Amino acid sequence: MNAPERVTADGSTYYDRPAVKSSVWGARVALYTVLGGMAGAAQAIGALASALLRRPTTIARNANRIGVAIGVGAGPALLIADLHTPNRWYNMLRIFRPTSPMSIGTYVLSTFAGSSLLAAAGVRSAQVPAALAGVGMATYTPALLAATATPLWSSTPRLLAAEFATSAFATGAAVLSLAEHLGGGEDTEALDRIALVSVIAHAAASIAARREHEREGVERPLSEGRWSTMHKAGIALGIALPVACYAMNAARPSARRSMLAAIGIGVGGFLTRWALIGAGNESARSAREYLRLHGGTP
Amino acid sequence: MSLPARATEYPQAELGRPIRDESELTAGVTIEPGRRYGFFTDTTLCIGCKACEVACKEWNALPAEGLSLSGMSYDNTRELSANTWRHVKFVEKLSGDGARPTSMPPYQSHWLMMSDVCKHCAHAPCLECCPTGALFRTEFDTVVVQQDICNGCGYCVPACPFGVVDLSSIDGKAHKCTLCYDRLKGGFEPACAKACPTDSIQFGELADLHRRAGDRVEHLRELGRDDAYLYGVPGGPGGELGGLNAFFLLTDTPETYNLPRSPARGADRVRPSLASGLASFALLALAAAGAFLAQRSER
Repeated sequence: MNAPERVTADGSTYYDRPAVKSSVWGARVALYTVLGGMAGAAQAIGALASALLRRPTTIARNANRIGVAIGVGAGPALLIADLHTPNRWYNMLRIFRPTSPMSIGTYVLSTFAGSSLLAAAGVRSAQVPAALAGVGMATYTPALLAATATPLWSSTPRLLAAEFATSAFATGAAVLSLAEHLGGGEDTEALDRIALVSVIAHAAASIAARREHEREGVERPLSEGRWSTMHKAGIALGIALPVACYAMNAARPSARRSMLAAIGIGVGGFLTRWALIGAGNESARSAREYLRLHGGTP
Repeated sequence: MSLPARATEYPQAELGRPIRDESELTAGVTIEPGRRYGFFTDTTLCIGCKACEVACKEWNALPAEGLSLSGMSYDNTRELSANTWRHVKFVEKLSGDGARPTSMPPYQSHWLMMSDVCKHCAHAPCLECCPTGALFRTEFDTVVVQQDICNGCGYCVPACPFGVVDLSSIDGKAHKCTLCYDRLKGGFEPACAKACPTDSIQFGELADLHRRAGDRVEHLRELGRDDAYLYGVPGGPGGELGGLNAFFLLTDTPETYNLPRSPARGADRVRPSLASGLASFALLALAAAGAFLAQRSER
């Protein structure tokens, strides 16, 4: 007993009404995913620095402070503000559900906040848990989006994750470099190298993700309209600008250019993320794209 | 349909109290915890009266939504939402040249009507992604949002592969069809099924509904409707989520009714995504370690 074969190629949807609902997430959630990923990657980089440099460095201390500011402060504040019944935020801690990345994320964020707080207070053994929870902070948000029915997010779970994780690593290295510059540290060179490698990896992941989006026929909201414009601006600030700055710095180092690159990575990362979330919401409004993605017929 | 024996026990016009196990009289089924219940919605019987929509709103005390004309045939309800848990779709089909066809097959012809509802999936993506446990599986194998737990995170809204769950702007919680959880507990058939005048919506035990639906498809095929098929039965179209407790008999492509041919389970994408994210992160961590080691040897 099979369904008739004709699929949506002829546009037979129900009056082009959306077949799934868009998420209610926007700039606030985009900002959280960027800040959370940034702080998470910063803690991981901080732990690596203090383990490998074998001399006093300000990187780990800065990372701990960023971890506290975002893990304890901005992160939960942004998430609770985004709830539609915020006074029940603690119900997130009622259960643990491994099929739900948001439930996983609840405990990742809690661990990250607690261990960052301890590490910042001078408990050295908290550095490793903070770094590991940091890895979770950079990787659970793309899984959260991929698990929805939104065409743009669900069509490429692996590449979306690569895109988010590399962007998190770039912003983490960038914010630490910026902190070094502002705090008079001396390890900006290594951090800028890490940021450059991450930005290049991010560019590669983004290109691969866009190609897969095109293959799946869901790229429209990222190739036309306002989210496409924002996405392009994000790429210019978060990829082109820092690569240019770091290339010039290779010939003649300049602290200002290094800071400009770091700011570009952060702002560009936010714009790209906001565009991905906005474009995802728009893709969910297209019944044609959703039904084609789940067309079943080969 | 023969009259159940118990029907003769209630000859009076007005009853002082609810009838015990009323569903035995109205739907021919006894409602007991631990068994699987659902809806079989036979679209070939739907006449588009919207009694299901009204009965649902009445019983569940759901507020009205914007009163306006949509221009989409007689469908001014438009979609399932936080305040609309049954939605009758009206598919007016025209032939290629835009004219109404003059010859029509039996049953619903070129005007398809379908009463849409929450599918109460066996592997419900809304339930699997709910971080608070507000969404749970009841003792009747249905999926319900506990209103005293939900904190309005909104994750279930984009997670539903059928666009059913919605956040209410009135109370900030997620809402959807409960398959009349309260009525089931009291031994009553769900309001929409009870109100349906053509039995297009049938409530019952899932295994029984599957059997009845299979018989109905066979009967329709004998009558010449070769395109009748079931949507949401395990193994068939729309059956990817382990089957839908609310399944449908359709006569055109699933897409015509805005239904995905192969709905996917979001939880299946969590592991690949996390693995890829961790691998990307690990590669960059190696690069970072290299950068720090190089820095150390430079000094």
